[in-house]
Amino acid sequence: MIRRRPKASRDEDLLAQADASLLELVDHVLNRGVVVTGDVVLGIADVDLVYVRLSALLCAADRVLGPPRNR
Amino acid sequence: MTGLYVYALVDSSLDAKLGTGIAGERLRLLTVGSATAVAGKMAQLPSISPHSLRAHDEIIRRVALASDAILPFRFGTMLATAKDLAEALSPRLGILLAALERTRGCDQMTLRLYAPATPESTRPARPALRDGGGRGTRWLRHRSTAYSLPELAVLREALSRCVHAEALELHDTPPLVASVFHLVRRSRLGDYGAEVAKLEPRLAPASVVATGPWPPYAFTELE
Repeated sequence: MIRRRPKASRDEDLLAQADASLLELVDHVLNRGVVVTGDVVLGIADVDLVYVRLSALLCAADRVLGPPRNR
Repeated sequence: MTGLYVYALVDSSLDAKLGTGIAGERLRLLTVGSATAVAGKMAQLPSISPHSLRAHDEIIRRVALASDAILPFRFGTMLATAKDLAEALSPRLGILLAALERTRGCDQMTLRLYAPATPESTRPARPALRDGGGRGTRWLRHRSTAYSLPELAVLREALSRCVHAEALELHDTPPLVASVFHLVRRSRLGDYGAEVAKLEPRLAPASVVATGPWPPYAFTELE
């Protein structure tokens, strides 16, 4: 699953061309970022519960798909 | 529930056309103290789906391209009004502005470090109960042991000249042992990628999976 980035001529290309797996996307978008505490955010507080074992998922995916170097 | 869906805190100098958000809403800039937030009016929270997650990420990336510095908000951050947003951010606005400044000119690279299970004798031993001290002491010893993973030392030695800042998350789910997030200046991304490509023989039998560049999702607070 290693993302070997193509040689880009511009930094913007690097950012735009990133091709993330859904699991990586989930971790970055749902597990990180600025958190605003407040009643409204509690509306999706279950997100934290859903993804609390994300590291286990990343690990499981690795076992299913084989070592990264072989992919 | 109509409200403001907040995407990011950005440099106040951002003047690019922002386009539309997840729900097709027009994105706008909101002044929050000395900070600027990118937000859009939305009738209800978007449901969590691969499509909405990708849409959120794509908007953050689009804004990141137009701004030198960006702090992404977590998916699903929605407040009723701009006043509510200002009240929510104001208690730690100074910290957020410092974190925003730290991201200037940088992208995030993410490394997943995998290490095969090894005999206890080859890894620093976990502190046993008989080591004494309270539960807190033992926990701190364990964390200290984890932070001294030899693979992390290899990563840091190889990549330090390209890395502006690092965030680390340890995992108790082998073979995934750590996630390492690096803030890398955009001008150094090529060098960083070249160094990562050379890591494999130095890390064996451990391995590392690199993804990115990402907007700085893991650098939204100062340590």
